[in-house]
This record gives sequence, structure tokens and C-alpha cells, in this order.
Amino acid sequence: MFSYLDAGTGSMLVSILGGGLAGIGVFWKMIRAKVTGKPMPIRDADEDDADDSSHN
Amino acid sequence: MGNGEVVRAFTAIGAKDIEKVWKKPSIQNALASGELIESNLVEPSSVGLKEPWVTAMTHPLIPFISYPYEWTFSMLKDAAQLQLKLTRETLADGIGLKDATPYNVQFIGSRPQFIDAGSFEKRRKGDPWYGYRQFCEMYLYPLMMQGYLGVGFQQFLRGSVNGISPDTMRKLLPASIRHPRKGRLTHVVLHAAAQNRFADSDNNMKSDAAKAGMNAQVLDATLRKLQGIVKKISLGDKKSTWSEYSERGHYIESSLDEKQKFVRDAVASAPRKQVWDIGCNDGVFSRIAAAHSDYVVAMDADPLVVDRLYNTLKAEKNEQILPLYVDLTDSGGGVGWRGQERPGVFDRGRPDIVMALAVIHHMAITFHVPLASQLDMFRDLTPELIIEMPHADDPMVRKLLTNKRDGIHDDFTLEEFERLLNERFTVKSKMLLSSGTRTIFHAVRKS
Repeated sequence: MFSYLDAGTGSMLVSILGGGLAGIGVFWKMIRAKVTGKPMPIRDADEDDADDSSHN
Repeated sequence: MGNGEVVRAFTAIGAKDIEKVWKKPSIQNALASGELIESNLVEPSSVGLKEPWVTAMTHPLIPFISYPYEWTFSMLKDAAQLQLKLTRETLADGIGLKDATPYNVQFIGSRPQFIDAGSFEKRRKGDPWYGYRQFCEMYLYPLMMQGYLGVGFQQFLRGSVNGISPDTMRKLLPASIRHPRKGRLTHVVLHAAAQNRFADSDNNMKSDAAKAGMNAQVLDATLRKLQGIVKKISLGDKKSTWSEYSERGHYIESSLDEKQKFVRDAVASAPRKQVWDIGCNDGVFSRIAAAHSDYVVAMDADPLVVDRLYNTLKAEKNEQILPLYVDLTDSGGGVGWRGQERPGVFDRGRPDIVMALAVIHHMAITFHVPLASQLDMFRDLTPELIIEMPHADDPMVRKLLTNKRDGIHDDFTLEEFERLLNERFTVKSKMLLSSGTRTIFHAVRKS
């Protein structure tokens, strides 16, 4: 019923959890950052490759 | 295009995606195996295109476009497995798929093929799987619905071009201790809760996930687990009205033989590109037609019967007969944007000849579609028709009439049928089957 409001934030989160242990690690870091308010360090690997691909 | 090809054109952004991924081994392997539709990159000018098109691609025509709500459980499951396989294999090459809709898969006979070559793009580090939610709504939930609940998914996919939402699925699929429903907790319950929780969120979840170490390995783990879930969902309810029943049980052996010969002679009397077998049941007449035509679309109103046929054809690697779940009394159409996105079955193909064997009495008596209206439909659909008319004293007709009000089908007679047929078609040949209660006709549309 809310789907038209949200392009998939919740889905994105669950898709991470769906990966089991691998996903839980990522999920936990996200939650920890939210709870503690400390920003997560930006990983080198995330800084590159910001091209302009489109998404349907 | 007039030469039997489909042309797809790309703007600068799409062309950039294609350029970055096209030579990757996973794409080339998918092309070589036929899992991805044959695609040839061409200069736009060579196919008559100008700006803004930067790149163009040609594909062969799909013999008949079908939609997920015309597929059976096993077809949707095979399409889901193809989607996950391609997503995983391309992910390993640094490629992301922009979406995950079964409308991007078509069946060539019993072989699923991914047709949206423009779905691939270079994956940016930290990117989530953009198609996850769509995969759930259009593949996973429909499969769960049929596998876990025994409820056919087709009417849901036909009713909504976007499939079943997580919230709806959560309400439909309760927990079960006796029959644990693999994948329900994460992909249904948590998914629905997360959707609701973050509905009006302005969090940059993508950025947060990337910072937290979201990477291809995490996505691959998700995809691998989904493959496991899909693999384990099986068709629960395997019985239906017709799945344990063949109308041919009423025939004496000679009737079946002569009917097969009649059909063979009629189909083989001219070259046929496409034959439709309406009410195909186990496909015995579809196979006869396939031997004398390029392609057969085999339709039946019982999805379990079609599912059984599909699995048989798949085991044979048959790419000439496309089995579809189509109920002609309620075939759908006009779905999606402006009611034009997914046209009805009658607007997607032009058969050279249609076979309607052991069908019209069901439509006439069970669904009250008058014989005249049925024959109008056939006249509009096909230049040639092979049609079987059971007489009023046929055992199946009597069975269908058992609980009907007296008199309302008094016009269901051979004489009336022949009168109506002759108004619309010229009968080339006809034969009374040995059973003595059925007549079969080969007729050509009057111009």
C-alpha cells in the first residue's frame, strides 16, 4: 500500500539481509552507525566509479 | 522491421551501458548458450535511425510473445531460475541488471530466453540489487502462492502488471509449523515490515549500505540463497479437473486414430507458419501439427494440464511447441499503461490454422458462450479451422448438461452447428468419428 511512496528503501535493506551472514555484517554496521550517530568511514572502494548509468 | 527482425535503439546513456558490458565473458556466454536472445550491434543509420539514437541492436522475432500470467508454475520457476542465474553470472563480471521482471523472459517452445539485452549495465561499487523487490513481487511471491498455498498465481499477475506487493503477500501467507515456508520470514514478513517502516524515509540507504561494505559478495549471497528457495518451492496441488482426465477416454481406439489422421491431413494440406491448438490437453494433436508447421501455440484452460505438458516438452528440449495457460472465455488483455501495455492473446499472433478439438461444448454449455459467438471468434482469428463438434447425445455433452436447466441448450445440435459454420466458413472435409457422437470439420473462412 505504500509502494508508490517508496522506490525501494526497505527492499534494499532486506536484500542485504537476504544474503545471510554476509549481509548481516553490512546490516549491523548500518544499524550501529544509526544508533551511535557516528558516520561510517568511506571505503576507498566506494569512492570511484561514479558513472551515470541509468536505472529503469 | 520488414525483414523479420526487431530493432532496439539506445540513446547515449544506454549505449554507454552496452559498450561497457557487451564484451564481458558472462554476456558472451549467455549469448552463445541462447539464454540471452541473439543480439547484433549495428550502426543506427544501417537500420534507418538518426539522432538521438547512438547505438542499435537487432534481434530475431520471438515466434509468439507470451506473458507470465499465461505461464504455468514450472514455466515461471524456470524463468526465475534463469533470471537469478544471469544476475549472478553477470554480477561476477561487474555487471548489474537494472530490473528483474518476468516480462523480460520469453519462451521459445519450452526454452526460456532472456530478451532484454538493454537491462545490463556496469555495476557501480556499493550498488544494491535494483531488481530485488521486483523479483519478489513478480517471481518469488507468485511461486510461493502456488507452491505453499496451492493458489494459482496467474490471476494475480494478470490483475496487476507489477505483481504482488510484499504487504499483500504477508497478509496472504501465514506461518505454518507443519509446512515451514522457506523464505517467508525474510523475503515476505521482513520485506513488508521494512517497506512500511521506510515508506516515507529520506535515508540515503544506498549510500549507507555502500559505506557499510555492501559489495558484490553480499549480493551474490542473496542471489544464491534465493536460488535455493526457488529451487525448493514445488507445485503442491497437482490435481485439477482435467489433469487426471483425458476426454479421449471416451473414444474407442479407432476414433482416436481417425481423428489423428484427419488432423494430420488438414494441417499438412498447406505450409503452416503458426498453428494454434486450443484445448491442447496433453498435446498429442499439437505434436501432430508441429510435424507439419513451423510453430505451435498449445493452449489449455487448465494450468496443471499445461504444466505437465510443459515439463514433458522441456524434457524433450522441444522448441517448436509453446504451451500456454489460456482460458478463451477469460483470456485477459489490455493490461498496464493505458490498457495497452500487454495486449490480449488475440492481438499477439495470427495463426494460419486453428485446432479446436473437444473444446466448444465446454465453452457453450459450461460458460454459456453461444456457438455463433464462438464461430465469430474463430472467423476473426483464423483463415482455417479444424473443429470438433460433439453431438447432443455425446457422453461428455450429457455430463455437462446434467445439472443445467432444461431447455437452455436445446440449440446445441449438430444441425445448428453446421448451419452456423456454413455461414462463416466453407467446409473442406468432415468426418463422423467411429464413436458416432462426434463430427470433425476442416473449414476455410469465407472471404
